[in-house]
Amino acid sequence: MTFEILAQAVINGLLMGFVFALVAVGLSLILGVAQIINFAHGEFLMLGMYTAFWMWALFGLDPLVSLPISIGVLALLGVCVYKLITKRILDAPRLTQIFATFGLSIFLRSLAQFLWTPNSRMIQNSWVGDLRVALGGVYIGAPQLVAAAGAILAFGVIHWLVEKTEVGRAMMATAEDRDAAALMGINTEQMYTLAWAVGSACVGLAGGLLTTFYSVEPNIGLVFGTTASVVIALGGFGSIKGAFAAGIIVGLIQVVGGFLIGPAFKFAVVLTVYLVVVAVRPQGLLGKY
Amino acid sequence: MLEVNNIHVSYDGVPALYGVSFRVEEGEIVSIVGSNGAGKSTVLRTVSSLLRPTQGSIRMNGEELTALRPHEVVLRGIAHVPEGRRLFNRQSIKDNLTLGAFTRKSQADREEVLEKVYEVFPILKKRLGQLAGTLSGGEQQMLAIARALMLKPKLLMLDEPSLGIAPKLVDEIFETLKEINEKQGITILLVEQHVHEALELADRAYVLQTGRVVTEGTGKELLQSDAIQKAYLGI
Ligand SMILES: Nc1ncnc2c1ncn2[C@@H]1O[C@H](COP(=O)(O)OP(=O)(O)O)[C@@H](O)[C@H]1O
Ligand SMILES: [Mg+2]
Repeated sequence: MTFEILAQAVINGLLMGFVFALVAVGLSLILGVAQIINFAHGEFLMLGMYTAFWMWALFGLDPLVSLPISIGVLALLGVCVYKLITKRILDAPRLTQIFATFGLSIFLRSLAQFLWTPNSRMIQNSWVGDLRVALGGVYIGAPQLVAAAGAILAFGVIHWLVEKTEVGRAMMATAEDRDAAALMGINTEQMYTLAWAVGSACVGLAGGLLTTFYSVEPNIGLVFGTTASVVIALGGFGSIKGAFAAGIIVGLIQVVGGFLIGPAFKFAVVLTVYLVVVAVRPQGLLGKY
Repeated sequence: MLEVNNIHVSYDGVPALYGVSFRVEEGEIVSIVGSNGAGKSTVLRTVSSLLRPTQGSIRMNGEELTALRPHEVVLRGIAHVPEGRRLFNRQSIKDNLTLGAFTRKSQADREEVLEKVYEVFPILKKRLGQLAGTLSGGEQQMLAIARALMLKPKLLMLDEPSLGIAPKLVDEIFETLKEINEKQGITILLVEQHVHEALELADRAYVLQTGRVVTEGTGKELLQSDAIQKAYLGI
């Protein structure tokens, strides 16, 4: 009996971990290529969730159907934020950059509260909402399963983009040395824009997938944004594979730790593991530098 | 080919170049020599549009470059091997060369340039899979030059290719530059602290001192002039 509960916790943690991983990959891509940590990344996710929610509430679109819209809206938001805000502060002191995206996160949270009230909202009767798969004594929720599958698929696409395509290689060259990349004839400006678009599209997808089993409220980004920061610190700053692996680990730690110690402590468990890892291995679990 | 006219460049309001002018004719090897901090790297970085001059003009075959972005300057046929080489250390030799060919879209075209580059640096062909960061200083410099040659440049600019390299290899690299210039017809603009070698190689040269051109002449003239040697070159 206890074994089954633990197995259930492991499965839930693993599936949630894939979503954390997807969110973190987006953050990591922006950090790695465009050299800026987006403190509003969690709020971007919140907006991705609201996009899916309103598509459902206003037009009756299932969140799985409106995924391309959530992805598109967030990619566009990423590009706008880059062109209007972060591009102007690329060479500014670190502190200015931190305040700019941190300020943006507060602005977006307040804006969501103002426009849509602080109430938490949930999509009812989504296609996969009530389905689940039984596996021995363990149940796997269909929404979580679909979300994990979506995250894995997205990671596969991004990995292929980065490793196998010309544009991806140009993006990684830009990440490694902006000026040297420019001297190869690479339009680094375009690479920054692309990183913001793809990185933000990740949370568009994650947000859309989450709404099938998670309620949305203006503060939802706080938890996910902080978790994503912990994940990329664990995975090694700027490493995309590291972010994905660390996301899964954090998902597991959170749920299993919560199960062993108490659900109220699940976030504390993650932060404790983070502090220990950073003290022992500051470059992150998989970080190269 | 390249005409630089009275450029002024500052870093955060602190001037580094005070009206530098020089020109490079097609087929020439031109050296700019000067001690550490004279402004040599600043000159090349400005030509590449990595820095913007506050005043002055830079023309390539008559076209103004100062308003262009760095990758657009590259498309005009100007390759820049930066100081300290700036290779993509986490990538292989082959990937570094491929990135150098980023502007060439046709595969056949790439293969052709690659073969030419292997002819100049046969050693690179044997170690294509090796990570750039694990090469010796001399090998890294060869790769940096090879990567720039992948652009099929009309003008090749090099910033202190001798930096951190054993003296024997420095001679070898300077020989290679001569060969590239003669056989492939690529015009060369070389910036150096190794004054003697740079002047021997150059058709013409400029002496840069604290952001100003103080002397110019043929390489031979500058090598032979006692006054210049004592005053500026410290040989
Ligand atoms: N990134 C920079 N920021 C501020 N000052 C710089 C920077 N790079 C160079 N300088 C200054 O500009 C002047 C010229 O430097 P540089 O062009 O690097 O000289 P060189 O290449 O001849 O050694 C020096 O006084 C140097 O201190
Ligand atoms: Mg220099």
